[in-house]
Formats: sequence, structure tokens, C-alpha cells
Amino acid sequence: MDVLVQGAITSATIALVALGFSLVYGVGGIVNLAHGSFFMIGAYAAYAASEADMPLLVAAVIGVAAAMLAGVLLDRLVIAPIRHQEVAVLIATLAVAILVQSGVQFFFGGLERQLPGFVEGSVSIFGVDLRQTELLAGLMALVTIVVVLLVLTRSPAGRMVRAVAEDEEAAVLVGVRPERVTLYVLAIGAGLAGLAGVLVAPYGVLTPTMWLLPLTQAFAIVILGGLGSIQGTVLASVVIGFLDRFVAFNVKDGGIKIGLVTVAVILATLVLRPQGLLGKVAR
Amino acid sequence: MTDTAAHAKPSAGSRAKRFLKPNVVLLALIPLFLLYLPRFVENTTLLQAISVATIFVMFAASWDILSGYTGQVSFGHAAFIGTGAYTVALFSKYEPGVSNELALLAGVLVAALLGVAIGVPCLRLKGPYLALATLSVAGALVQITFIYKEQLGGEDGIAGVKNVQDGAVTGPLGEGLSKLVLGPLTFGGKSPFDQYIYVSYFVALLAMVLVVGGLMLLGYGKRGLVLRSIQQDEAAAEAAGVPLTRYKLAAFVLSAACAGFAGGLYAQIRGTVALDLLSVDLSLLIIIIAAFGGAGSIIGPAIGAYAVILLQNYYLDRASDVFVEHPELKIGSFALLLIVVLIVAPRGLVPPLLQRLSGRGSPSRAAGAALTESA
Amino acid sequence: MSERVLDVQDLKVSFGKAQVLDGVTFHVDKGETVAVVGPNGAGKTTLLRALSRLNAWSGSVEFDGRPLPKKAYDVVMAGLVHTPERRRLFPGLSIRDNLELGARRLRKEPNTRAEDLERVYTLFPKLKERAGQTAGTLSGGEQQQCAIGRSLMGRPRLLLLDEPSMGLAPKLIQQIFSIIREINTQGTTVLLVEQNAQQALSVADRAYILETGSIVKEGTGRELLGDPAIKEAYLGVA
Ligand SMILES: Nc1ncnc2c1ncn2[C@@H]1O[C@H](COP(=O)(O)OP(=O)(O)OP(=O)(O)O)[C@@H](O)[C@H]1O
Ligand SMILES: [Mg+2]
Repeated sequence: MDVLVQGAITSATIALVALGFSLVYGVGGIVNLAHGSFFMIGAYAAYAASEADMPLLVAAVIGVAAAMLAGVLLDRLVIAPIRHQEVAVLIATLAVAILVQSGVQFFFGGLERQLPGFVEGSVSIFGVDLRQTELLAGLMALVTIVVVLLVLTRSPAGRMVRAVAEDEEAAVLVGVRPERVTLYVLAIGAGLAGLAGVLVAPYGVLTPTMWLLPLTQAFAIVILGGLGSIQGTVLASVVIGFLDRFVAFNVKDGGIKIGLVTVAVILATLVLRPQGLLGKVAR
Repeated sequence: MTDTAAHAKPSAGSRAKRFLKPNVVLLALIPLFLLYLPRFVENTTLLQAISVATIFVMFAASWDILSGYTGQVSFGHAAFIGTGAYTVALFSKYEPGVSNELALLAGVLVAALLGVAIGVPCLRLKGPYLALATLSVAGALVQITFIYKEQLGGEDGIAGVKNVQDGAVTGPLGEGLSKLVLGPLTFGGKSPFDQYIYVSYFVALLAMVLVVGGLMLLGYGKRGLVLRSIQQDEAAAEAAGVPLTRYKLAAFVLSAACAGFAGGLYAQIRGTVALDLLSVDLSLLIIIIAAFGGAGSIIGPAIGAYAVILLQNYYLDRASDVFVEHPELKIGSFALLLIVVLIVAPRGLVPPLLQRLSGRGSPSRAAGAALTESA
Repeated sequence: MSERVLDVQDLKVSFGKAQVLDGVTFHVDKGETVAVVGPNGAGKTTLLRALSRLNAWSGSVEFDGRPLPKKAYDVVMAGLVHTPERRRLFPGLSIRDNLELGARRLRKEPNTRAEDLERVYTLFPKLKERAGQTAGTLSGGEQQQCAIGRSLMGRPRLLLLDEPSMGLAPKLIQQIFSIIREINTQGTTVLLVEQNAQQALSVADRAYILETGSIVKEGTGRELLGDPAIKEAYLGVA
């Protein structure tokens, strides 16, 4: 039962991170190795704001805004000039991840930090005791995902995003500017990852290297779900989310083995089913 | 294609030779210079920093034979380095009877095995997949050190690795070279700690000359051109009869083995292993070195390693106390510099220079030539 | 004299050393259907892509009396709308979504949308039936209809069509060309690029023959249809 309830929460927060990663890949063909850094920036910015005695809600907004700003800067300053050079983008975004890591280390030190819970007290769901703030995180994440999916599938903006992802040149020919769409998607994806960071901050731990695990998990999700497939991303998030909690609860020292299991999933998928769960053949 | 084949065929071999020839003198000067350097440099801290840089030359060169040549860019080279280093450390910890050299060999083997283990699933992967796969494998290894904390030490690492001076081969070799360069009397007059610095300096140098020399011979020979052709156009390379799978995997394993060797040696020189040897920081540092030196030339990254590592381990510490108090700012600054370089000069800084020095033609031409010759 | 919509002078395109278009000069007047006919590899697609700023070129192009905008996006916004080779629909999007995307050019004039959609549905009733279906599931002929429909949604000042007959059965080709004629009589200026000389020349007011990057002949559609050399080379009639 623990696994089910907490797995659902973890799935939702991980999906927040993975959605942005997957969308940016789908739209711009950009694999952003600094995507996990948005998660970290959201968490640390909220933490810094709350340390400065701001109300938690304001701190949360600051966290998301900081991540979005980072996304915009990343696109304009780093990615846009080298957008069509795949390897250069990979290297540059990894450099950004390390840059952010060293910045966080410089300003906050290497010690573990934590944000106070957004709500106090605990609840019991299906007999599982939960901190209310965890439940809130799960619900917020879920609602956000639903909104994002609705926007993607139902709105004119979402239509444009999907058009660029399917055929960039054809999108240009109907009057869409892919660079703009990429910028927006990157900013929103960064905001989603930042939100995940904010939501998790009261019960996870903040360290300067906390960006790597969500990046690895997002990668596993994108591989498992199939390239650029939105449904695949959501489905795979559930798989990885439950796996995460399953390992954490049922394996000795599970907490530190999550990354390992994730990598095993990645390698196994690459070998056995490179086109992902839903079987969409990679372009 | 026929056009290239027609006039390149007779010159393929001579082209490679022509490239090597004018540089043999230049290239031999570098190790000779380094060999006699300790005679004139009293500052052992600087010498120590140079030893570390020499090790990094091997890291960078081994990265380059895989990433710079075949274009399978590894973002987790630290995985191989760390594997070599930790294997050596484990032997010291659990089987201190095993000789240093044997432990080093074991480190090479384990790293090579890891090369196979990662290389096989990655064979069909391109750019982003490969990047993420290699990156996350290195991340997973860090976690393994926590899972087997008792054996591998978690964040503390393993101390007390048997050092090079205790090696049956490396000990006498290092001492012999030290005496040769400094004179036996001078060397004998040094404190044991300083003696150790000299010994490791020369052992590192010797190892580097062997590894980098070997990789360069390979890289500038026909095989190197074939490796390059994989990067340029896999389909064309395959069509021209290059056994792609074999070459790609071989590059992976060779790169892993060399990195494991250098990592193991580094452990024996430092006397400790720790998480920095598996970290993303290290993997990126190697990419930074290669990017500054110019990937795909072996010698470029090698030169880059001296520049970057001496800055990192010596000059920056002396430039400002900030870097002593906040060492993370070093990699941070390098990362920032790398981003700027990528945007301004995506091909690296050294290669244009190198090409002018050697009068080498475009790699694509030469690769085409090698292909037509081997086909 | 009628209004000149497109005026192309000495257009040159090369990819590396290969010169694909070698100084092409032609024009399109308002209300015309102009065809450019030529064999495989003549450079027809390259020509249209150059006009849409999808590949680099030299020479001079005036669109609506002004120099052609520099960016692909601005070209579209100026009203030069391109229906690319092989249709290039968004296969995962519904037909309706594909059509709506075509109307992006007019997003500042929201009142035209419903009317244009109705017009496209009248021209292509099949599309209305299948509006909710994803474009990837359409048959080849329907996809071509959808692609042309998508372009019409932008109310082009000049419609570029790249091989609308590609991959279609003879009966469907007939049908597509009669719709092109209809679109033209409704007031859209059309520049058509085709291998199917017979059909292209019969709908075209004027036509140019493009061979290995140069225009080798021009005339009215009727003249060229009657030209013995053309008959032999393109129409398979000795
Ligand atoms: N991006 C490119 N790079 C190099 N060469 C190209 C490129 N695009 C087109 N070409 C070459 O330009 C020539 C003309 O191509 P183009 O596609 O314009 O021909 P086409 O007349 O449209 O032929 P088809 O009737 O087969 O569609 C061909 O030889 C083609 O190989
Ligand atoms: Mg064509």
C-alpha cells in the first residue's frame, strides 16, 4: 500500500520533470542535460526565499519563476546560437549543469537543506500515513500535468507545439517560428521542473548534486516512453515512479539504489526495446 | 566519391606519414622537455601538479580516441577512470600481497570489461542517447560506492593505496629516471616525501609517453582514418566495407582500457581514491580539456590537459584565495569558459593551429582515402 | 498590363559545387496559373524552396512589387504559401488541426476562419467527413487534398504547388488538377511545379520548361502542348 500511494505521488512529480524534458526534445530536437538543474534551481530558490523570511507560498512562486527565468536564459544565451549542432548542445548544457552545481555549492555550501512543509500535519490514505505536504505535492503535480496535457492537445498553442515536433519545416511553411516555440516550451518545461523541485523540497533533501537523479529518471522515462511521445512520457513516468518507491521500500538500502535501478532500466530498454514501450519507431 | 578515390589512393599512406614526419621532432621535444624539467624546477608542488596533469593527458587522449575520432561522444569517461582506480585500491585494501603492476593490469581489464558492457548497448545509439547513457552509468557507479560503503568507502573513498614507489617495476624505474635526471647524489639528498614526488613524476611521464604515443600511432595511421570516417558518415563507412560494429566497439574498449590504466596509476600516485574520480565534474573536465585542445587529434587534448590542469591545480590557487576556499569555482569557471568557447568557436581552439603546423589536409579527404584503400 | 505578383530574375542556387539552378528568370501575374515543367532532378523543388527561403540563393526576386522577405516566416506572412513536395502534413494531428494551422497567417483577422474552413470543405467534402481523424491515416489523394486545403486556409496571394500529382492514380490526378483550375478561377494565383506535363500544361495559362537548372522554353500552356519537341520529350508522343 505504501508503494501504491507514495508511488503515485512520486510518479506525478517525476512526470513534471520528464514532460518538459520530453517536450523540449520533441520540439527542438534538443537534449537538455541541464534540465535537472531547473529542478534544483526551483528547490534552492524557494529555500533561499523562505530563509529570507518570505511566506512559503511566495517562496514557491519564486522557485518556479527562477527556474523559468533560467530556462529563458539558457535558450537565448546558450542553446539558440548552437541549436543545430547536436553535440555542442549536449556539451554546453552539461557545462551549464556543472556551472549551476558549482554556483549552488558556492552560495549554499554542500550541506543538505530542506524547505519547511507547505502544510503541517499528516493524513492517512488507504491506511498509509502521509505528511500532508507530500499529499499536496502529489495533487499539485497531478493537476498541473492534466492542465499541461489539455493545453497541448486542445489549445491552438498546443497545436503549434505538436506541429513543430512533427515536422519543423512544414510548421515554418504555415507560419510558425520554431525558435519561438522552442523558447516557450523550454521556459515552460523549466517551470514544470522547477515546480517539481519546489514541491519535493519539503520532504526531499537539497544538495548541489540533486540535479543528476531527476535528469537520469527523465531520460529513462523518455527512452521507455518512446521519443517525443507525450502519452508514452506519462505512462513511463508512472512506471519509473512506482519503481522508484518500490525499490526505496522493498530493497535494503533502497534509497541509494534508485539511480542504479533507473540506469538498469535505461540499458535494458536500449538493448531490448529501443523504440520504447509504446513501440513508436524512433525517427 | 570516385573523384576522391582517384587522386587520393596513391597518397593515403604518404599523407599519414607526411603528417607524422614534421611533428616527430616537435613531439619528441615535449617529453624530453618534461623529462629534464625537474632538473631546473625546484618547486615540488609545481612538479606534483605537472604529474597530475600528465595523468590527465592520458585521460584526455583516451577520451579522444573514442569521442573525438569516432564521434561517439562519451559524457561519462570518469566511469572508466574510476573503475581502474577503484580496482587498484581494492587490491591494496584486500590483497596487499598482489603486486602493483598486477593490480594495475586488473584495473585495465575491469575498465575494458565495463567498456564492453556499456559499448554493446550503445553501439546503435547516437548523440543524445549515447550522452545520456554514458552520463547515467557514471552516476550509477557513484551510487554503487555508497551501496558497498564498507568496501568502497562511499563519500570517504579508500585511503592507503599502495603507491608507485612500492611497485616492483614502477619503483626502480622511477628511481632510476630520477637519479639519471637529477644525479644520484642530489636525488639521495632529498627528503623521502620529495623523492616520492620525483618518482611519481617520472612514472607518470613514462606511462603518458607510452599511452599517448600508442594512441597517436593508431590515430594518425590508417585505422585512425577509418575511425574518423565513422564520425563523418556511418552509412558511407559501412558501404565502403568498414566493419562498423567491430571498429566502434574496439574504440570503446581501447578508450576504456587506457582510461582505466591512467586511473589506476593515478590512484597509486595519489595513494587514495575518492568520488571525484567518478564524478560528472571529472567527465566534464575531460570534455573541457578536449574542447580547448581540439578533439580528434590526440595531441590537442594532450596539450589542453597541461594547460587546464596546471591552471586548476596550481595557478588558480595562487591567483586568488577564493579558489582555495571554494574549489568548486574552478570547475565552474572552466564550465563557463567552455560555454563561451562553444558558442564562439565550436571546433576548439587548437586544431586550426595544428593543421597549419602540419599542413594536413581535411580529415574527410584522408578518411575517404583510407576507406578506398581498405575496401 | 496585369499586376505582377512574382518577378524572378537570374535565380541561382548551388549546393557546394553543384549548381542546381543556373540563372532562372520568370514571372507570375495576378490571377494566372503558371506551370514549371521538367524531368526528375531538373531543380523544380529547389526553385520553390528557394522562393520560400528554405535554401539560399542569389539573384533577385520581387514579390508583390517588393523584394522577397529574408526569412521563411516573413515570406509566409507576406502571402507566398507553399504546398511542399510529398505534402508534409502533420500526420499525428487531426485534419481539422492541420487546416487550422494553415490559417495561422491570418490569426489577426479572426472572422475569416469559419468561412475559409467552409470553402475548403466545399472543395474537398472528404475532409469534412474525416475532420477528426489524424492526417496520417488519410489516403494519398486525401492527403494531397488536405495539404492544398491547408495552404488555402492562409488565403495565399500566390500559391506554390510542388507536384500535386505525385503518387496518385490517373483518375485522382484528373480530379486534383480540376480542383486547381477551380481554385484559380476563384481568384487564387498559382505557381505549379510538375513532372506531369500533360496535365500541368492543360491547366496552365503560361508555362516554362526547366531542364537541368535552366529554362529552355516558355509559352502559353496551349502552345507548349502543341510543340512537337515537347510532345516527344514529355508527352511520350512521337
Ligand atoms: N539539399 C541538397 N543538397 C545537395 N543537393 C541537392 C539538395 N537538394 C537538391 N539537390 C540536388 O539538386 C538537384 C535538383 O533537385 P530537385 O529536388 O530540385 O529536383 P526536382 O526537379 O524537384 O526533381 P523531382 O521531379 O524528382 O522532384 C538534384 O540533383 C538534387 O540531387
Ligand atoms: Mg521535386
